[in-house]
Amino acid sequence: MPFPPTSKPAGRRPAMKAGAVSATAMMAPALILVGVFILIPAIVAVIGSFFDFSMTSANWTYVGGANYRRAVTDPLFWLAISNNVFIVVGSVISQVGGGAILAAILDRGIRRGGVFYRTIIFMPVVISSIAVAFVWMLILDPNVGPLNAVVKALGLPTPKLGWLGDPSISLWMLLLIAAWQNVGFQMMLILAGLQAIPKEHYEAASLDGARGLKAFWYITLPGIRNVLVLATLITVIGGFKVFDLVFVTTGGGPANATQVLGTYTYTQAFSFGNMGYANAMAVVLLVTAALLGWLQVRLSRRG
Amino acid sequence: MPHLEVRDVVKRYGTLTVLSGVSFAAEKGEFVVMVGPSGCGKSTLLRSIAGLEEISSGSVSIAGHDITAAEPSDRGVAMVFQNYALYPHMTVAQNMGFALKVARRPKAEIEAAVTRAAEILRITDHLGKYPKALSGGQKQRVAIGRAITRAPEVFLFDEPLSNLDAALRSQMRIELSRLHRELGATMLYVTHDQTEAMTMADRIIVMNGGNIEQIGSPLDLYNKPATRFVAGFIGSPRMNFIASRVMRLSGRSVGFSLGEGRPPLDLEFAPGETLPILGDAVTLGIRPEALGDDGEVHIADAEVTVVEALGRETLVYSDARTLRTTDSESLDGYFAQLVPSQSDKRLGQQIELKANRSAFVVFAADGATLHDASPIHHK
Ligand SMILES: Nc1ncnc2c1ncn2[C@@H]1O[C@H](COP(=O)(O)OP(=O)(O)O)[C@@H](O)[C@H]1O
Ligand SMILES: [Mg+2]
Repeated sequence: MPFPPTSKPAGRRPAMKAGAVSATAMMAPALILVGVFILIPAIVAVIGSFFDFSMTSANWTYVGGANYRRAVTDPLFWLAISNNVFIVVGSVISQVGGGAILAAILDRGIRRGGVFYRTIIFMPVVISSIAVAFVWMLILDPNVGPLNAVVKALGLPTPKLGWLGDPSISLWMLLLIAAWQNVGFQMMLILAGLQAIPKEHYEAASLDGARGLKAFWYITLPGIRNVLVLATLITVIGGFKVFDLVFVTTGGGPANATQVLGTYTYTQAFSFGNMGYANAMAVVLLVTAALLGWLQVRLSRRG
Repeated sequence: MPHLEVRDVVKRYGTLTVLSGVSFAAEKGEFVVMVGPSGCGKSTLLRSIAGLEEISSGSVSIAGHDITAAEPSDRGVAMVFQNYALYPHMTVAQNMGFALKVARRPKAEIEAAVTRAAEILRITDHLGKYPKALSGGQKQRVAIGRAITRAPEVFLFDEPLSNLDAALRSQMRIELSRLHRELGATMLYVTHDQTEAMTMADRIIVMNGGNIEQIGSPLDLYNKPATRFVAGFIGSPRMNFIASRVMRLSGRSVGFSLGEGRPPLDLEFAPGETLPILGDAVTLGIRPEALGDDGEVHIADAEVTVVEALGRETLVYSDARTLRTTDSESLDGYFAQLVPSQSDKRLGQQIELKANRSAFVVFAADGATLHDASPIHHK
C-alpha cells in the first residue's frame, strides 16, 4: 500500500511591501546610531592610519603604509599582541571552561539553591569593568589588600612588588579578574544550552545504550556545540578588545608586562601623540574583531 | 510463558501513588494497547517497563528474564516517544543506527539494519536528512525505525500518534498494524484515544487511577464492560447513563425506575449475574446506537438540542430533563443517539427515546457491571 507524501510544501511567506517599509523605519534609529558612532569613526580610523598627524595640529601628512610597516617592526606591538593572545587563550580556558563546569554543576550537581548560586556568580557581569578593576586593586593591594593578608596568614610568600606590580604575575592577575567578572555570563549561556536539551533525548539515548560519558559525548556535547562556539568567540573577541580593566589596574605595566593592543594604541595616541600609528593599530584590532565576528555569525548559522 | 509479564507493580512519587499494584502479561507477538484517561499512570507504567523509572515494588520480566533491575538498554525493549525524541544533530540514518553504533556493531551490520528498517517504513529517501527537515509523520516513522533497528523483544509506544493530524493518524494506525504483522513483534502501545485502541489492539488494557479496570479484546470490552468506567470510556459517543433504583425483584426479573410516575423497566438477569438488592441505587447504561424511535421500552420524551450530520450517520443529542444521569462527564439528562443513516431530526423537535430491553446494561453503585446488554447485529 503506497503512502501518499506526508510532508507539507515548504514555502516562504511572501514578503509584504508595507512590512519592509516599516521594518526599515523601525531599524532607522539603530542604523543611524551605528553609522554615527561606529561606521564613521571606523572609516576615519582607516583613513587616518595612512597619515601622520597629532591631536593638536591640523597637519595631516600622507605616509602611505608607513604606519603599518612601523607596527610590524615595533617589538612593543608584537608584545602587546602576544599578551592579547595570552589573555584570549587563558580566558577561553578559564571563562568558557569554568563556565561549562559551573553550568554542569548547576544543571545536575546540586539539588537546592541553584537560583541563588546562579545569581551570585552572575552578579559581576552586570558591574562595570572600571568598578571591577577598582575592587580588585583593593583586594590585591600589597599594603592593605586582604589577599596579601590571607596569603601571609597561611605562611606563604607574597610577591615583593605586589600582585599587580610583579611583571611575572601581573598578567595572570588580569586573567583572574577577567574570569571573575565574565565566568557568570558564560555559565548562564551554557546552562541555557544544557537546559534546552530535552529530557527525552537522554531517555532515548539510555535505551539506546548511551549513558554517562557516552551520553555526554553523543547528546550533551552536540546539543551545546553552538553555544560553546558562541561563548568561545565572545571570549576571544573580548580578549582582543580588552582595555578598561588593564588601563585602570596596571596601565599596561609594569614594564609593559600587561601591555595589550588596546592600551598600547591609547598610549601611542594620547601619550606620544602618534595618531596615525595609533589608528593603524586600531585598524588591526578592528579587522581582527570583525573577522572573528563574521566567523561567529557563520558558525552559529551552520548549526 | 508470557513474553512480557508485569507483576504487582507499584510506583510512588513521595506520598503520591501513581501505580497501585498493576499486573498483566502479553504473549509473544501480541499487540496490547493500554488506554485510560490522562494522568492515570499509562506513561509511568510504560517508563517503568523501559527502565526509565524505578518502581517502588513489583517485578517485570521479558522473555523469561527478570529485568526489574536491569539498565534500560539491557532490557530488550525499544520505546517510541510521543515527541519523537530524535537526536537533532544526527541524520535519519544515524538516528536509526545509533543504538547499534553505541554497541560497536560492525558498520555493514548497522547499514543493513538501517536500510531494512527504512524500507519497511518507506523512508529510504530521507536517510540523509536531518530531523528538522522532516514532517511530523516522517519524524514519527524515523522514531519507529530507530526502534526497529534494535530488533527488541518488546516495542513500547507512548502515544506515538497524538501529535499528528487526524488524517495522518488514521493512516499511521493502518501502517502500525501492518508493521506489527510484518515484524510479528510484541508491542505495548499506550494511548488515550480509544479509536486507536479499538482498531489496533489484539487486547486492550483499560487503566483508571493507577489500576487496571479490565483487560480484554476490543469487542469484549465494548460488549461486556466490567465496570461503568470501561463502558463509558470505550465507545464514541460514550454510553448514556441513567440514574436509577431497584423498584421490584421477583426471581431473576428486576424492575428499575425510569423517573417519577413511569412504569419501571423490567430486565431479566441471566443465571450467572449478581442480583441487586431492593432499593439499591444503580446506573442503567445504553449505547447511543441502541436508542431509536422504536423499541420495547419508552425511556423518556426529549427535545433535540444538537444534530451532527456526518453524512453516513447522524448524531442526535437530546435533552430529557426528567431523567438524571449519574455521570460527571455528561450533562444531566442529555442523551446521545447514533442514527446509522441521515436523519430528518431538527433542532427543538420533540422525540421519544426508545430502546429494546436487551440493550440495557446495569451497573452497581460501586461501578461494577451487574447485567450485560446484547450486542446489536445488522444484517
Ligand atoms: N516525576 C513525577 N513526579 C511526581 N508525579 C509524577 C511524576 N511523573 C508523573 N507523575 C504523576 O503521575 C500521574 C500519572 O502520570 P502519567 O503516567 O504520565 O499519566 P498518563 O500517561 O496516563 O497520562 C500523574 O498524576 C502525574 O502527575
Ligand atoms: Mg502519558
